[in-house]
Amino acid sequence: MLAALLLLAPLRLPAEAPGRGFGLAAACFGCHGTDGVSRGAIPSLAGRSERFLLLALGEYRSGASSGTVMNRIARGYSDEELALLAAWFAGRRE
Amino acid sequence: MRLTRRGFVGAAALAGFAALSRRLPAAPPARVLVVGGGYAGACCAKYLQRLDPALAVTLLTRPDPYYTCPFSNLLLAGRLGLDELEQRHDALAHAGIEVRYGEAIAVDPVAKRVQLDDGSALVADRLVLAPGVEFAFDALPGYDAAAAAILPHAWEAGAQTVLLRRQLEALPDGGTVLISVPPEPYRCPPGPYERASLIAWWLRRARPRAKLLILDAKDRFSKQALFREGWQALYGQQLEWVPGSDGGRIERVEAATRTLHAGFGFGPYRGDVVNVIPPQRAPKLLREAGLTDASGWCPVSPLAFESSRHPGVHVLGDAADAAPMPKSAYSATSQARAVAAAIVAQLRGEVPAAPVYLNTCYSLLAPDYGISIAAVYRVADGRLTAVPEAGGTSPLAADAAFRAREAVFAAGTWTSLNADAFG
Ligand SMILES: Cc1cc2nc3c(=O)[nH]c(=O)nc-3n(C[C@H](O)[C@H](O)[C@H](O)COP(=O)(O)OP(=O)(O)OC[C@H]3O[C@@H](n4cnc5c(N)ncnc54)[C@H](O)[C@@H]3O)c2cc1C
Repeated sequence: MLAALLLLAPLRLPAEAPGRGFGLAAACFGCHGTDGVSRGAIPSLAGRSERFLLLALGEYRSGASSGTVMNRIARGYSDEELALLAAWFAGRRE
Repeated sequence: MRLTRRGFVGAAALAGFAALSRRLPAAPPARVLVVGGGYAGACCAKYLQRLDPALAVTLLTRPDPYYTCPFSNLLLAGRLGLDELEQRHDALAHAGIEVRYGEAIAVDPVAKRVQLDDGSALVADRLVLAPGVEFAFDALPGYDAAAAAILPHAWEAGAQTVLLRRQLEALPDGGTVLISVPPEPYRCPPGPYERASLIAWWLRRARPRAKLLILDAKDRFSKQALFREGWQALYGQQLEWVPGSDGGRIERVEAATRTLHAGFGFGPYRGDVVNVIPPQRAPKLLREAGLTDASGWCPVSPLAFESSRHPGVHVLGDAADAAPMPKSAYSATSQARAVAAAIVAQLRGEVPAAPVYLNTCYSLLAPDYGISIAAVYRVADGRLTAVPEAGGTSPLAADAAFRAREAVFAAGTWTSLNADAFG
């Protein structure tokens, strides 16, 4: 009954407020493009696999992979935040 | 009245669907007015609209085009045309933002009312103010708007950038170029040194006997070791940096004779081309609205860049005192996305997620030689703080391939910032 009511409701229910995943990911858009879709020389992140993204971020943070600026940036994030980032970008369409 | 999901379900269960729809007309959408369509304002308007398409978002900015300061130093090296720096606000208008072209002349931060120069006014529930910087034409004796027509600052891209390029083209071989750098804070801390590098790159090819002197008010500067390492290798004696305590601090300008006067018996310096980067502050529009403090910039809370003086008024980009974040286009857009998300959450009566801001600033020492500085910022003890484990500059003594890669990334970042803010 309640669910049906919600579907019929003429009032527009607000979508979820932007969560932590968006907040963390948004900082990356400056280089990697809106929603992680890059039109320039920097790799896109949108739609890459979550496993790949998490591995890459972890390796940048530990220094196992050497990039240019990414090693310096990845060190600013916790395990949990890297996981949120990987999941958020993996969930975007390329 | 704003309804939360839980409130709505509860109310609906009690009152029934029909009664509810009769009693509660849809709430009018909240109105957010953004003033200034540069990187900060354009990007914030875009994300406000994307994150909540029901919001009524208005962007008030000066008539197009907007020219990006990022990459304008390449124009000075003869590598880019002005059209390549051009941005417009059409795409934002197509996305559903009401774009108004005009000049804001007064802000009432309590009534949330902005007066325009055509006699009209705009009123909103929230204000986002991002008008950039104002050049303090009363701070350096002899350097005012009239002097800037002779000795360009080119610290706002457009006609000034073209004027400086024309003067460089007229420079005789064996001539002298002077760049005067103000004390911090000013927009783009490494910008003057990138400019000096790219002008030197052009001089080396087109005017090999000319000399470039940087007259700096400071004794230290951003990415200093990297710049000096690169300059040594690329430009040798052709480029010289004079720190403030060695006579670099300019105290008076004589535009007619293209002369810069320093204190303590140093100088005077006479140039054939003189680029004066003047001291800067938040624009008069914000000062007159009582949004600035003694520093000349706008104090804000680091959580949503809300003015410490007036609730419901957000100030972002170069105009805000966001130290330790530098005044950069990258910082401006990082703030803009976070502020948009925070405003959307606040308007729904929710607590915004704790923000994480980022800055990455690339500088070119030559078209194929880039360096970078980056930092991650969080709120700690109520203050914006750079995460100590993160950030820093490119390594010294890196090889040419590393520098070339960062030059490519510099262009990639510029492309992404432009597409994100204006696309
Ligand atoms: C030479 C140079 C190179 C740079 N390079 C880089 C770089 O490589 N990377 C980087 O990240 N940053 C760089 N920057 C810094 C960057 O340009 C600024 O930090 C950025 O533009 C700040 O954005 P903003 O939106 O706060 O202000 P602005 O870009 O100045 O935008 C302000 C907008 O508000 C409008 N406006 C102002 N007053 C009013 C009013 N009263 N009514 C209506 N509209 C108004 C203006 O017309 C403008 O459109 C560089 C700067 C310079 C000078």
